Parts: sequence; C-alpha cells; structure tokens
Amino acid sequence: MNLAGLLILAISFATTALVSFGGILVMVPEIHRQSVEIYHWANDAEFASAFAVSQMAPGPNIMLMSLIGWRAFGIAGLLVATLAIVIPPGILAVVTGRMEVKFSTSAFFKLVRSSLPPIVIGLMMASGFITAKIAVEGFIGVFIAAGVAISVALTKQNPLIPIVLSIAVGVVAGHFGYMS
Amino acid sequence: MRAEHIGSSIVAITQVDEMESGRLAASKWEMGRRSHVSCLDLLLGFLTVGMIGFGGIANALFHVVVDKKKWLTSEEYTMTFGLAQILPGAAPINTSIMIADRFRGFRGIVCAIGGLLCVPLISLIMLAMVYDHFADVPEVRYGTIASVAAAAGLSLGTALKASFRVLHSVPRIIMAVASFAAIGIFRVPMIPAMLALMIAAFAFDYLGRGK
Repeated sequence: MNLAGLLILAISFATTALVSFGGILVMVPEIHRQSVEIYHWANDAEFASAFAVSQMAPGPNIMLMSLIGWRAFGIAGLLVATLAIVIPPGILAVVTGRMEVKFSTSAFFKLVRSSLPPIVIGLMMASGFITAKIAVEGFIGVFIAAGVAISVALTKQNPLIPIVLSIAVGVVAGHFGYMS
Repeated sequence: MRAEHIGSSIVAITQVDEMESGRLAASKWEMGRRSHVSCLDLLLGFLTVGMIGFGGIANALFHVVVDKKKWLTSEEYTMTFGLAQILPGAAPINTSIMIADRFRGFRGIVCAIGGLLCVPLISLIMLAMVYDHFADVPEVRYGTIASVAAAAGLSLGTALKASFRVLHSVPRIIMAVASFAAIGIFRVPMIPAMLALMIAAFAFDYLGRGK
C-alpha cells in the first residue's frame, strides 16, 4: 500500500475541504489543480469521466473526490479521500452547532454571511469555466454548455431536464461525427 | 445532476443577507432534549437519505428529517442548514453531522455519516466499473463529454442567476470578478486565494459601514 501517496491525498483533500465555502462543486478548479496538475492522480479525460460518473450515482457531491481517491489508490484511497473531505468541515460543524444561537447572532457571523455570496459567485463562475476547459471540445460542447447556462439562469425549471437533453444531443451529435 | 442541490445551495447563500439575526435567535430549538432518536434510528434514516438522494442529497435530507421522521421542524432544519452553509464543506453533510450530534453526540455522527455514505459509495464504485467496461464505446465518451459540458453550463448559469440578485454594488462586483480571476484564470491555490478574498471582502464591508 502506498502510504505516502495516501497521506498526500488526505492532506490535499482535507485542506481543500477546509476552504470549500459554497460547497464542493465550487471547488472543482482546486480539485482539478491538485489531482491533475500537481499530483497526477488522473489526467483530464479521467477527471472528466470521474466527474460524470460521480454525478450519476446517488449521494452527495463529494463523491467526485472519493472516486479520484479510488482511481489512484483503490479502496484505501476511496475511504481516505471521503474521510478527508468529511471530517475537517465536520469538526467545524459540530463546534458551530454546539455554539448555535450564540454564534448565529454574532457580528462575525453576519459579516461572513454578507461577504461570502459575491465570492461564491466568482468561484462558481470559475468552476464552470474550468470544467468547460477540461471537457468541452468543438462547437457542440460550447452549444451545450451555453444552452444549459442560459436555461438555468433564465428559467425556474428543474435543471435535470436540460442536462438529460444535453447528453442526448451529445450522443446523437457524436454518432454522426460532430464531436471530435 | 447535482442541479437542484447547487441551485438551492447558492440561492440560499444569497438570501442570507436578508435574514435577520433576531429571527434566528427566536427560533432556538430544544432538539437536545429529544433523545428518543437512537443511533439505529439515525443509521436507518440517513441510509434512506443516501439511497434516494439522486441529484444531491439536500432535498432527500429535508424529506427524511422533516417530512418523514419529524426529527426537526421545518424552521429548525432551515436554521441548521443556514448555519451549515456558511461553513466550509458540503452543506447537507454538515447539516447531517449537526443533527446527529444534537441527538446522540459522536456515536450518532458515526451512525449518521456511515448510513449516509455507504450505499452511495458502493453505487459509485459499481457505476465506475460499468463505465470502465463500456469506456471504449464512442457513444459513452460523447455522453460523458456532453454531461460535463452541461455541468459547466449549470455552474455558469447558477452563478449568473444568483448574480442578478447579489451583485448590486460595485464592491460586490469587484469581489466576484476578483475571485473568478484568481481561481479561474490565474489558478491561484485555494487557501491563500480564499484568505485574501475574505480579508478584502471584510475590508469593503467595514469601509462601506463607515459611510
């Protein structure tokens, strides 16, 4: 078993989890930076497929990182990655939960609540941008990403519909040779 | 297909401005006293959340905890989720941890998170194996590319939607552009980037109040 590799995986994902304000999906650029560019646990294509597979399974978003751990280090990697994402924020959650009302009325809490949203919006834009750079190739990919973005931004319908539609468009377009 | 989850998460985080702390204080709950929820209850309840949680577990969590098991009232849940949202990490998981801790402490957390994650992790591995088996089929590859492109569009669209209501002042627009540029363009490591961005946001907030 690759203990040194597992330790790096644990530290890398735990520290990412500790700054993952706005949820794990906002962290896609950081997860990509670490697992593809720095530590080479996956290449771009493997990262994209892990992203797609983790979205199809039931359960929380963090499973993108679980799957990267599994691909790189097997079952130990799966467990280490999952725990590394859950435990550090979990400790903060327990502490916050126990302070509860005292904390939720404090000035610091209000400051964080009013400061965070613009940052999260920027991070989410970056997440979409990097995700597109990883996987989107050719006209059809841009068309799909733009179509989903517009429909999500302007309508209140369940985003599942444009996503399922996108996959169908991708498969059909690919079948007729319009996706490289 | 985490659509609804991301949607609800960012929409909620953009609504926080409007929440008055007084209202939060008024809804202080007495959950600690409801000790009738056992570790086994938590395990089974959260097992259900994991199994039915397609498209993110946020909706499933509310359904089980509030509608079905009535462990929390809707208001208590909203308050707990709101707290979880300003913490790092996945908000539904942090919410689950806080709920389990209230009822059964550390053992409760282990039961809840174990129950929550076991079915999804097993399905994840099974799906990954099926995917690997069919990875050479071109259509599978096209479908994958399309679904990642759709996920990219989803992030962009959600951010765009939230920005209509959040980015109503120049400092806020500056903060959003700065965080996009730092992470999306310059690929600055997340920890120093977040620290700098938070400090800048606090500074804007402080200066704004001085006026």
